[in-house]
Amino acid sequence: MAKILIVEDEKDMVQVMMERLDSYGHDVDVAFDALQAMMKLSKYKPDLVLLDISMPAGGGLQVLRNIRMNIRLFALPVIIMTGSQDEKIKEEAKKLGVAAYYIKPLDINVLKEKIAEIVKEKDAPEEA
Amino acid sequence: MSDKEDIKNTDAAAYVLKLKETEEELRKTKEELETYTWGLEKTNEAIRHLYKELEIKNIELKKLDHLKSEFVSTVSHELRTPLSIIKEGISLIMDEVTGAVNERQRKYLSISKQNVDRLERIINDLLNISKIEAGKIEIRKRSVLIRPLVEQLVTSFEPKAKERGLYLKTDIPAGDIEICADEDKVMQVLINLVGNALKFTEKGFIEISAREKRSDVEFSVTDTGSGIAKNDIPRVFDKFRQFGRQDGPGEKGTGLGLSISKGIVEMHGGSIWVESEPGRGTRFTFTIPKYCTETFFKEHVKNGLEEALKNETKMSVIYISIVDYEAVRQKLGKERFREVVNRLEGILQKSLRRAGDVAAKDTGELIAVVTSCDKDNVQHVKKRLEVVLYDFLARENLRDAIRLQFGYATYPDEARTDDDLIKRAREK
Repeated sequence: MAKILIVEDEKDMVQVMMERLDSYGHDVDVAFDALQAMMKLSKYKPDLVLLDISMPAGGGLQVLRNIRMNIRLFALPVIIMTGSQDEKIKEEAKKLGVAAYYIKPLDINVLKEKIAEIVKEKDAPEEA
Repeated sequence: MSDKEDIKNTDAAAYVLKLKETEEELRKTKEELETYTWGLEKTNEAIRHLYKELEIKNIELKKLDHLKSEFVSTVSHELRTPLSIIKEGISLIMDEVTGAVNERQRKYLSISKQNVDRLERIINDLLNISKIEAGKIEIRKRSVLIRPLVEQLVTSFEPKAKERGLYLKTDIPAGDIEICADEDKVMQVLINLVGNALKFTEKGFIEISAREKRSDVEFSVTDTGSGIAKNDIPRVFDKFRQFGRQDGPGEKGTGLGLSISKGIVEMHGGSIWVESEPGRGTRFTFTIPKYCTETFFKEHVKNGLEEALKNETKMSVIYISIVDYEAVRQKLGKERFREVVNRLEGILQKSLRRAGDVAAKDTGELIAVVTSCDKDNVQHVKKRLEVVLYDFLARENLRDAIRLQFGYATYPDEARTDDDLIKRAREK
């Protein structure tokens, strides 16, 4: 139903998430770090990005910034996942604009609904 | 020699003697002065040295503070990541995404899921408590009415109480009683106490009561449960304390709830204690200071001052008041007036985001402590806030009913202490 790009460095996390999103019928691609994420985004535009901004190597928030500053990508829906409760980072992410901000562990039902919401909007006819 | 010459000689001699004495005094004074000057120089040197030490300590303190924040957030991430993976892995199998699951498999998956959830609760509580102890928890105090708070509490626990065949009752005095508190955090304490009471009570009732005292409100949660042994009472608030009381059905606790509750109550300036009789029941009581007094604003400004001092920046205080608030309150009615003040506070805080800290009193006075803000900036900020607030009033059709007055003061240019800042901001 939707083309989703997951940006996450934990391979196990990617494994369980892909299995889950697959079962919902989505087409899932993965980037294991910020650089890979930007490379993929330069080649195609997904319907949604699931972005981990607490990757130890960093760069998560920068991916969000880059997306918002990019003429082609700026309106791309981004769902943030994070393992920490850092208020400052949360503030900045929200300022940049996010579809949702979740703290791990994610509630899979909440995520499922949010994705459905985003897909519905994407498929809705353009306002004249 | 003649008499005249004799006299002259005597005078001269006396004069010279006097001169010599004065010279001697002067010399002594000069010596004393030199000693004093030398002493002063030494003191100055010592002061300079202490200053340097203070600077070093300051840098160390800043580093430590930074480490504390990093620690909490790193640990948080390191624990939550594997936790979510395990949780989702179990979920995937249980939801039969990977194929059919038989009864036996389901049983063990279920047990695993419950324990992962339990682990998650422990981690959340641990992080909570370590934030409290590291002083990294922010509580936003404001005037909170106790009645709606307790009513909300009862509504959420009523179903569970019914399920257990227990009677949930309240004893709150009539009228508007307020506490100066962070509503969510106090609710957390109440939920913890009522939750515990439910867990350890087989039959009878749980009562939530409040008593207004001179300067605070005393809340009590009383149950007719199994009680706590006398020996255990002193350790009830320790971390990871779980007692020999038989656990009721439902989630297993983390052993940290009471410790967190104690931390929250004490952060509000209150105290918490327990009375119990094994076999008869238990009562947990905690106090929270009543409405925010004069010192409420002062606290906020003081915090802002400390930050400014720590980071060596300027800061400003913006004071906003509703003109003739009593008349306005009469006109709108207490409920609406309070609601408006709360909304104004919310809008102010939203507008300032991280740059400022807002506090409101139910006299329609609001204060915004704006960090890194100097004399020029504060004028811009004030203008912006004016627009935002009047916009809100217009949307609510209150533009005519409510007039706002704005004042501000900057540290260190216009005032250097919390009292002076508030005073100046009020006067402008």
